[in-house]
Amino acid sequence: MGMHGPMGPRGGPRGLMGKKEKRSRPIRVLLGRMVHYLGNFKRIVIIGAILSLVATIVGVIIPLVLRDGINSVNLVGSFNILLSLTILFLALSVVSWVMGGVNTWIMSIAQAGLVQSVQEDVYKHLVAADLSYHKAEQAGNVTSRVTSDATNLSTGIQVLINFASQALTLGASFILLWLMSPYLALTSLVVVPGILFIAGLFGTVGQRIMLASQRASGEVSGQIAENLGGIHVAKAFNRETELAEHMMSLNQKAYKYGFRFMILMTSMQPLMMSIGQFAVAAMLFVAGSLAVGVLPVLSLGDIFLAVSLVRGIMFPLLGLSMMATQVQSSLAAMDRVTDVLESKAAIVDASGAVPLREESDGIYFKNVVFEYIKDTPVLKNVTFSINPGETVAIVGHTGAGKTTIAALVNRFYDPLQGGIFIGDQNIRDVQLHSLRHAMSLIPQEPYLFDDTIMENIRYGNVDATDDEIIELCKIIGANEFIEVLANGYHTQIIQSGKNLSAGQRQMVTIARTMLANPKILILDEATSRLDAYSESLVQDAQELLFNNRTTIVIAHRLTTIANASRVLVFDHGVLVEQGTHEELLAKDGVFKSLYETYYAHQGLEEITEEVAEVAKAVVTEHGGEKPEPLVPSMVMGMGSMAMSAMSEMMGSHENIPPEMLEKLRVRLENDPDSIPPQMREMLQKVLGNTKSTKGSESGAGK
Amino acid sequence: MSRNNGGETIRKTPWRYMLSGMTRNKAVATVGLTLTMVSTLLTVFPAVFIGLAAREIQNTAAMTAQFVNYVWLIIIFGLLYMGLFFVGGWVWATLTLRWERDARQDFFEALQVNSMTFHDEFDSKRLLAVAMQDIQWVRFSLNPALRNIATGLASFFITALLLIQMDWLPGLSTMLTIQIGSYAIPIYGFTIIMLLGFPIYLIFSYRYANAIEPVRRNRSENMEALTSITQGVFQGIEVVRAFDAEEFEIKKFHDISKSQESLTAKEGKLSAFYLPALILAGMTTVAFAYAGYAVINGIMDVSQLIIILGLLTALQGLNFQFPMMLLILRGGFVNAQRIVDFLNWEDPMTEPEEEVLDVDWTGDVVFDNVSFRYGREENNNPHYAIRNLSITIPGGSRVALIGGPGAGKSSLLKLLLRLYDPTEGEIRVGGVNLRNVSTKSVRDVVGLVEQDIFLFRMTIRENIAFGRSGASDEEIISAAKRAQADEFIVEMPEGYDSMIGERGMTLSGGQRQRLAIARAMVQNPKILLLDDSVSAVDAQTEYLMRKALDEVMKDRTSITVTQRLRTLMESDMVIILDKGHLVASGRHEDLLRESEHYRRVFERLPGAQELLATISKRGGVA
Repeated sequence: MGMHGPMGPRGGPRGLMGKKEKRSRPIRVLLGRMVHYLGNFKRIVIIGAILSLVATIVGVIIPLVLRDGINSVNLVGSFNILLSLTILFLALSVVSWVMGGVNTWIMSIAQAGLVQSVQEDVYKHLVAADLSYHKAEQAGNVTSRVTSDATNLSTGIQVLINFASQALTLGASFILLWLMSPYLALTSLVVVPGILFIAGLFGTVGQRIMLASQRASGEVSGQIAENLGGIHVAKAFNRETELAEHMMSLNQKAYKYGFRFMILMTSMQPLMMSIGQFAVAAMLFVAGSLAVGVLPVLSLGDIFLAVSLVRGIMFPLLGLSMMATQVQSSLAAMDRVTDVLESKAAIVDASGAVPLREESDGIYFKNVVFEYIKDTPVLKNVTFSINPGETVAIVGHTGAGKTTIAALVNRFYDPLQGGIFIGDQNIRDVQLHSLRHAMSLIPQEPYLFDDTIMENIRYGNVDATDDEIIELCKIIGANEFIEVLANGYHTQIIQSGKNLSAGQRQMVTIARTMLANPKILILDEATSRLDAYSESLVQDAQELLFNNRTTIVIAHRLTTIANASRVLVFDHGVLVEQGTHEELLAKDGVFKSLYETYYAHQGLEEITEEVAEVAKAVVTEHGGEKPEPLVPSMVMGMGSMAMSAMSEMMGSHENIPPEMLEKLRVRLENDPDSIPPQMREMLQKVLGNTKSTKGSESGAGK
Repeated sequence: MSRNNGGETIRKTPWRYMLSGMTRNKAVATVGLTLTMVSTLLTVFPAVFIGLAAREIQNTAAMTAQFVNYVWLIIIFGLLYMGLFFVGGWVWATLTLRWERDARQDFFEALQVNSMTFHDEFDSKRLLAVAMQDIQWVRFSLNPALRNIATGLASFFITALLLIQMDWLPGLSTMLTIQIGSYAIPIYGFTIIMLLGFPIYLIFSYRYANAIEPVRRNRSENMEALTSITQGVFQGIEVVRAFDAEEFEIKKFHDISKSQESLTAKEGKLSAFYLPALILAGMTTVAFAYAGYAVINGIMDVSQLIIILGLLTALQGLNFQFPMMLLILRGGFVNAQRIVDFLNWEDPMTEPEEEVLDVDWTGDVVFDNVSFRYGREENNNPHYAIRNLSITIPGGSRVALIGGPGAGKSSLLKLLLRLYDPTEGEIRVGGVNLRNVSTKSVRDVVGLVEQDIFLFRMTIRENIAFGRSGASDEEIISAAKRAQADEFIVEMPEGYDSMIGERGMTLSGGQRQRLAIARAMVQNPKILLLDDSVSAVDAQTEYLMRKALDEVMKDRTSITVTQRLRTLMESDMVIILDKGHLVASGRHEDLLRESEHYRRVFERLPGAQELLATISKRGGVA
């Protein structure tokens, strides 16, 4: 119960996708795993268990003392007995309090330690997991493996530990009643149907209302997130009032469902209390009838005890009946965590991997075949070489496989066939650490951490001093805009960079990479969001700092292509042409058409309607312009925290990585009930779409 | 009950904020409180019936009708309790959930009204968390916390009354006396137990909650940090990989998860020992001994002892609820504090007291020695985004704005929209200082097509209509046509009613930009601001964009941030900014001749080289 912790509609895919995700492992295995983790805290757990047993037994004995007290004053009337019983009562109360307290205390130590060790294990695994795993999962989901799943797990363990003491209280109370009279014991069972009713009610109707209420407040939260993201637009068009009205209607809806949920919760307490009172009445009646007559079976003290024991029957029963759901969700968490821990990363250092040698340079692809999804090749038998110190541009339509090449060189994935070499070393036989140290990739989408600008740049080289960073920024022309920000270099990046323009974000990532000072540089449209002037400054800096380094440029501007010593032209995963800019233009082939579609008009050249028409035809044939997410990426990031799962998943289905789509498809086929109906429908639509475009590979080539 | 306060937000103290829902609906709150108290009475009394029933058995040794009546009374009280509690719960739910709904709405509206300085300053993730979670926790602190605390206090109080009245049993007051001189002072045992024990119990409960709350808050803040770091790493996993920073990140995570562990353990330790439970046990012990003594002396009968023990053991239920609820209440106060702080944020931008209404928006736009820096005045940000800028833009002209990142281009546009006010100097349109015009009026006539286009999760129609409330369908379609957007819209399965984004269509950059242009056309502004730093697109997209831009710039003053050669050459005026300073302004040809800076920038634009080559071939510049 994290008090200020994350609330509402989040958690793992369970919370997101509806509740019945099937477990893939038998309960026995999962329980075994939990016990295994607890094993590290063996001594604490054993002490805790003993303490809790003692506390429970003492708790059961205390009413017995009171019973004897009542009987003794009533029948014997001895001061001494009263005095010793009083002392006994006080002593037992203190013992029970201390035992219970110590137990809670040390168990919290064990639990905290357990959560931490699970978290760290999972985290390490995830950081090392294959990129394909991360592409197939949402960052929010991955995070919940570390956060909410670990917490769930510890709740489950807590529940299991409580189980023993609850069961003991229940058993002891029942036996005591039975010893007094079997009738009493049987009477206590009147609470059972009531408790089953409560548990059933909350398991069915309660769950449904709760989900509906969570969904409604998820909508509010998503809308607030969106409106805050677009606040400047709302202001620019004076539309605050309308947005507020819309918000009110969502708030009203959330209120309606929240009200239902609260009424349900509110009815739980009187239901419980009343069931307790009915049981007390029944017990009083039965005990009373046993205490009358010529040979009464029970004394007055026994009546008191019998009535007191109703509590000892009812609360443990209630606790036990609620346990099932908690243990269920905990087992599911264990299952998901186990998935992570058991998965073996495919991209790891080979046995006998060696460091990348200092003199190894140049990039060589030999007959490389690669696919993200089985039987949908993205690169088909690609062979090329980039000599040490050479700058090569890669061009092609969307889906031609350009970004894939960048990812493969970094060994984010391994090719299906063929090999990739740096110098004469196959990158599969090189230590990952030294490989990634030697090269830097500036990705298409700039990604910044929520830290200061200074620290974001320093990520490229943790040893760099502030002065070095500022010096570098001056060279690439980033200093000017960083300086005027509210706190200069110490400005905190918020929401992955909402306080910077897209171009500025790109500048920061460029500075970061340049600081890393890699031997090999890969620029994946790294300057696409810069204005041409800034871009040319960056290019100057690059020439100054990285002259004669092996460089791959995935190009989007004419100037870049013209500067490259060679151009590789890709089409549908095949290397179709290569040569200098002029040579390729003279060829009048794929490059020529690309040139006319994308590059020619970047100059002053007037575009005629014909050129536009041709371009349209070419672009359409290749799957169209690249769609962009509806809202800038940082709002999406915020969404994973706030928006309902569905909106998040479906935020822009074109941007769902192919791996994730594939995973969803499999799930849709095998276990459709685990996906809420609206989403199922949506999924079918999306999957249908990609299937139809698969021919042109635009779905797979991202 | 309608909306709590008609949109008027409580921004005073946290307590007043928390309780505003109740103080504004005093009658309803009183009813809820009363019902809660009465229903508590119904749960306390059965203990008395049990004692009375026991007396009946002791006296008669038979199942009398009176005994059975007591059994029935317990059942009836149980039923009554169920009913009353439910009604009370209904009232509380209405009261507090409405408060929550209105508080959230008010909070959102307050955020919306705050100027952009506010939104620059705060992470909207944080604002969202306050809007959703903090407000929810304040509500929790009212219901269930405050309600349960009221219940607990009531049962304590009723128990105390029932016990204290026993002191007046004949003989009890003379059972134990203190002899002072010849004077015998009676000891009222139960009175002393309750009047002493009750306050001590409460004081220790309060201290307990007070000690734990900060630790708990620390823990949850640490958890938030842990979550956000984790999410950041997984979102940017490619960056982590590319810079080989896995070990670094694992170390970072290790540290924060270790501190999470120690905070959790600390909280566990503090919360494990709830001292008041011991105090209650002590009270029960003393009462047990005292009443037992009285029974042995024949002053009380055993049924009264049963009643007393029954009442006191029933109070033990409080040991579970009370501390938890106090913690929530205590925490709710801190949450309320945080909310009130946001609500009290002082906006540096103010609306004019008396607005100038007759502004000639087609007049000249004059920047008179304008300087501007981000952040609040007090922050003393030493760096100006715009510095001593003076320029006159003739009404109706087409202006192109160029300069590198940090030159001050977008700041200039934002000032014209009055998203910010200049730090020094003034901006005049048609001779009127913008500060003397309300933001609403300014934004009615100044339009914007921003760089990173933001569209809402609505239909295409609604997104275009966002430009002006009440735009007709014809206006929307004609705007879309002129923005070259109609063509792709009608090809969509649901045309203008296609949803954008969530469960709908995704659009390419070019399409989004054309929708934004259509949106601006619907608004039909007198002054249009365009941030056209578009990335490279294919020829057809470019072609359509050029047409759309030509259309939208017609018949108004337009200021375009651009890097298109063509726009530069066709503009009436080019303004070059560098590091917030005005470098030069004038027509393209003149600048090319006069400004070295402009020439340097221009040369670097794609295609400029060829152009310059042809010009020089023709015999020199211009």
